[in-house]
Amino acid sequence: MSEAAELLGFLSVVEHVKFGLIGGYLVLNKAGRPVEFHCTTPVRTTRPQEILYGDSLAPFIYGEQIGQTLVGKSRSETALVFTNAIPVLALQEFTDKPVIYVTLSPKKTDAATNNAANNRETLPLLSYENDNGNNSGNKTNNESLVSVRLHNIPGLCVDNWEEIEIGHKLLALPGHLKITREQQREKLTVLMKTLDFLEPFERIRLALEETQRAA
Amino acid sequence: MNNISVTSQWFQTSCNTSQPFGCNVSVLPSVDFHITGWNQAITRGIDIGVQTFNPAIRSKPQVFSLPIGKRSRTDIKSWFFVPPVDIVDNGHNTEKSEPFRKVTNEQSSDFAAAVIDIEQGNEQNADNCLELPEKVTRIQVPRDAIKLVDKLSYLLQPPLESILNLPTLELPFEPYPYQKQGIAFLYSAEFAILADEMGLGKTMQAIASIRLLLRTCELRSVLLVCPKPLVTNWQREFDLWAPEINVQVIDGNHHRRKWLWQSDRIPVRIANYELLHRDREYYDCPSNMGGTTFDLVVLDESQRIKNVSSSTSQAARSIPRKRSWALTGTPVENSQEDLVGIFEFLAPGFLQSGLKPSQVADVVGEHILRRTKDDVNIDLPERSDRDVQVVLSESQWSTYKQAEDEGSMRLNEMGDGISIQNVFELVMRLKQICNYDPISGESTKLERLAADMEEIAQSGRKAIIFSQWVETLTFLKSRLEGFNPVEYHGRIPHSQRDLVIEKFRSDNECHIILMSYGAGSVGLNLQFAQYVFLFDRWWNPAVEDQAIARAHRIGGKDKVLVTRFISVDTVEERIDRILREKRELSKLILSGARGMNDSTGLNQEEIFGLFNLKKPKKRKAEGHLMVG
Repeated sequence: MSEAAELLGFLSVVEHVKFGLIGGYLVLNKAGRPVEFHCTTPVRTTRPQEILYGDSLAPFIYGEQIGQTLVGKSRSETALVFTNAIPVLALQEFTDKPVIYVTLSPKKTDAATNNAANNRETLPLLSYENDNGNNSGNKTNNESLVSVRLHNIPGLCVDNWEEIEIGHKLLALPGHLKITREQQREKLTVLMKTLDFLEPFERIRLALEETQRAA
Repeated sequence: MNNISVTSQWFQTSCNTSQPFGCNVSVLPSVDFHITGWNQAITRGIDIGVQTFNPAIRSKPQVFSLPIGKRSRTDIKSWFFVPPVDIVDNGHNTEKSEPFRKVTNEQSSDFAAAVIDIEQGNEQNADNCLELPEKVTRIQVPRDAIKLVDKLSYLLQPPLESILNLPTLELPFEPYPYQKQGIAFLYSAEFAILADEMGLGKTMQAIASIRLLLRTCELRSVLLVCPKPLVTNWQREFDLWAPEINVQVIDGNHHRRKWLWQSDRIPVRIANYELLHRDREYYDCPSNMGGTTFDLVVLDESQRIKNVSSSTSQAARSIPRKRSWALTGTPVENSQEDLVGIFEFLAPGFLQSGLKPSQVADVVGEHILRRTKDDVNIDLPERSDRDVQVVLSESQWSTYKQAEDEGSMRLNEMGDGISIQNVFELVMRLKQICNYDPISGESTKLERLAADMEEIAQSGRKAIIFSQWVETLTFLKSRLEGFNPVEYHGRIPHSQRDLVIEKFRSDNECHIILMSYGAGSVGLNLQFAQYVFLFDRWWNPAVEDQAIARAHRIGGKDKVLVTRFISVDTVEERIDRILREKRELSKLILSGARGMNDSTGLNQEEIFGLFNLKKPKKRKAEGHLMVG
């Protein structure tokens, strides 16, 4: 098995209410142990950008400006890049690694939302989902949960998304991958046996908070 | 016609607004008014500005360029880690890496089955396998981690649940959440005390932490030191919680012991406290003489080193080591100096003598983890305590009174020549009489105990009876033969003690185990017993708590009834009062409460006060003697 097959990337972008968007990229080995961690300095959007990019601003900032820079900085070859922010999927245009959006499946989302609210950290870091009021808990089924949202976001270069539900996680993969849906499912299921695909994003958040404290 | 003329006046306008720009647009007044004063005022001329635009004049537009598409520079900070590799998970558990026993197929069978189920589309099983806990336990960032990279290396570790979820890291039972917190606490601790109340699983938490650290090569050599009677218990627990870890007990002749101390191929060694002193030359020597530096030294029942001047404490402190943990249910037995003694082993100089209890709590707070049974929400059996006041029989009272009067008189006659030992001797003598009259053999406590035991035996239950004297235990054994008692005390050879415990556990006819506080109060798991009798009282409540915790611990199912016998109008009543006060000391220091009396231990004044004696003057040498 190649090194890349054993490493997984997790890319998240959070918003600091004062300073702007901060990206974090965590590379883990298959046991979930950290190999690399990269974070950006805060990125601010300008008013002209907001006006002229409109709805496609988030994919530009999250995917191209932050995501591409972070992944490009990594020394390790990862097999996959997971993200918990939909606009990061725009990164797919700049990398040949599959970029996979992961979220809780609707049946678990409500509980998780409540749980997250209870465990709110003290620093004012917001996730894209929370910030945009787009939380998937408002949706009623898988179709409306991911597909509609993906298709409604301009700036994403991938038209066709495959959705896979494993355990309590819902994953959206770019549809152009060569392996079949069942093969994807099988591989991801084995990976998820030892690694919760959502949990590393909490680590990224904690690490970003620590870096902001240190800054 | 390219001009646009715009004029306007009040009252009336006529404008063809449908006309596009580029045509004439005229706005002209058309007014007819009757001439009145008001009308004159109204029709007075108003200055109206007229602006004329000529669209034909094309001024060169100014261009503003906005760097919308230009990539602004995004600075990146990077950290790189060398992740620990789980030796067993990665199949490195070969003969070459001797520290680990081979992992049997059975240990990974569950995972294999799960994968097969998933592959076969068994969704139900897959869901069960992939359901991860909503609450996770993160490895704690040590307070003394200063560099950001160090903090991140802890923060970015997977939660404990993920680590424990590894298929080859099979655990016999799912640890309780508080136990996971304990593991996370120890995992990153350079020096620490795990001070959970007895019965909450300190042993398991320590073993699980050691196991994780050994498997990832963050530790390679661990020394565990415990009281001699607990060595087999630790071996058993290692077999249960870390079956793949090779554990060696340091014993045998001096050649063997020397080899065991100095070998670099043994991941976990267990030594008893007595051996520390005897074998000091084997470990406290330069590396070129075979000395080894342990990655971790763990002291179980670490209150054994509370006295810094004791040879045991000195020997423990001389062990070359990188990390130090202490396990004890009673870090403060008599006074906060006990804690100072333990910290002298953990981090010399870290905790100074003479601080106020609140200051002690502030200093050591980060390095002590203590939970009581009330703190943790676990399914412990219910516990009831009762103090049974017994009135001595006539002959007992006569013997007692004679001994007390004569003893007190002797002490008074000694004047300033009296010593603490003289008082002790009298106290011990009186307590023994309270247990039974050595002349007549009468014992009110025994009568009460025998009556209780009838009921206990009839219901098929078991009881632990504690005394501080082997003579008392022997006396009780002869009087309680009907309940098939077994004995566990200092006169029972170590080689037989496991058999005694096993008989008490498995023999349905054996209803009583007679234990001395010294031999039986720590480390044993006797949760199948439902009754604990403290036939006489120990000097400090922590030891009594330890004794009670043999039965009242995790795994017990039935209610535990604790009975303390106190003889009315005797020295036992006076000691009981002091013990109650001492019990508060530990609570205050460990909770960081303020305003406590700095010295509530059983000091000289209190000991002399048992007989209304005053502490003699000019006896500086004895200082603040504590009884423990």
